[in-house]
Amino acid sequence: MTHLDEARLLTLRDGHPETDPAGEAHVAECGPCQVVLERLRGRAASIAGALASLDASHDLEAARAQVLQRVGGGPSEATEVTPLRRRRPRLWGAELGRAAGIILVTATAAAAALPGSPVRRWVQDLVSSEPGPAEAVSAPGTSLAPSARETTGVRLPLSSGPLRVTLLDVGAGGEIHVRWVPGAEAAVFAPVGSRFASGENRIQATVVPGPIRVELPDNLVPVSLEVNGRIYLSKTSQGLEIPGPAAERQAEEIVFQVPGG
Amino acid sequence: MDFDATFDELYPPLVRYCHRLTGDSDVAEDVAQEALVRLFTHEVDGPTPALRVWAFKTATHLVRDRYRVEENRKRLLQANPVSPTPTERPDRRLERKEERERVRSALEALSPRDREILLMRYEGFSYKDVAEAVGVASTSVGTLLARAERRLASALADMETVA
Repeated sequence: MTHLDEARLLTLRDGHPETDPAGEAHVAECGPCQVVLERLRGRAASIAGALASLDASHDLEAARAQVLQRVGGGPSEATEVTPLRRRRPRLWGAELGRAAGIILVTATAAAAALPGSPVRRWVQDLVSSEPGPAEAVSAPGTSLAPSARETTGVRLPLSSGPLRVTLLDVGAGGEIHVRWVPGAEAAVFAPVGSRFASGENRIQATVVPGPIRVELPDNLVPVSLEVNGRIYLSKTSQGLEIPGPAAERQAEEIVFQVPGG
Repeated sequence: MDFDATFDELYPPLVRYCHRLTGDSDVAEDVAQEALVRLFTHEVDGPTPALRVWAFKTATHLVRDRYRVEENRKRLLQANPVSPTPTERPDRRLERKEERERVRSALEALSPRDREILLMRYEGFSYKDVAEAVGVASTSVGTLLARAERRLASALADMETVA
């Protein structure tokens, strides 16, 4: 009797009996081949175990953010808002930037027209000549009231947590104003030229220099804010942790200043 | 294509494959991310298994390109730079490091093609998919895999004996 060679036995071991029905029939009746097949199964288990010893943990979320940034970061004349889940393949680059800018401005204007809208409140803060709550906690030498023409952003409606906000390329000395807001929308605003991407429960902004404002729903958990790869703020049902460099802290707002400036 | 779903499906096995293939965490992450960026920006579409083959094939070629540079090949031959967890006991850490180095050396003893075939097979790909990604005839995969496994098992056994 001619026994199967190792390659044919591997085909059977690896789940491709359909490619070799004759071999399968042979093994069913051949003791020596069954022994070899069993040995090959043991070898596969040993190799799988050895290979697993090489494996390391990788930061999935950092990788996701980087891929997202590169995918959503096509060339643009202005700010891009790139909800990848709803991304249309043909709408890209400058077209996307223009479309996103129009959508953002339109949506912001519409929302600002609604009494009680958080956008309305924020726009009022921006254009108001009276010192508002944001100004009350401003760090020395920093304007907390950037002109609406110079700032843009993205809003994300949320029905529940978690929420992860990631800010990238925030320069040394850069200020991030985090405000707790009522309602169920998170938002990030940064100077024009910044790039934004949002997905389910996530906002990412790659920013250019200038003031940054983050709005977080005050009743949402868990929430985290990551800046340049570091966790600055984490809110869970257990409480609020602020490992980031908080320059000012009040009930409704925290101001972070990125070190090194 | 749903970014998050596709990323979650593809990235973990892809970076694991690249890490096993190169022995370098940084390179593995670079390559896996680049492969996915190409997948998304080239608007590759299709069922998930097909996307998976596409991404692994792309990553395999990226690794090959990268390691045509001799300096990178030297890095490949260096010990695995994986950082141990801070809570790990020193003796256990040493043990794990030695085990990694042993497996890494055994893998390095294979030809690049055999290594690719073996690692893709151990990611669960069919022989047909392995053949497509690595660029060999699907009828050759069984033979090549048998040889790669024999060599790897033999190298591992030799090192165990020496140790």
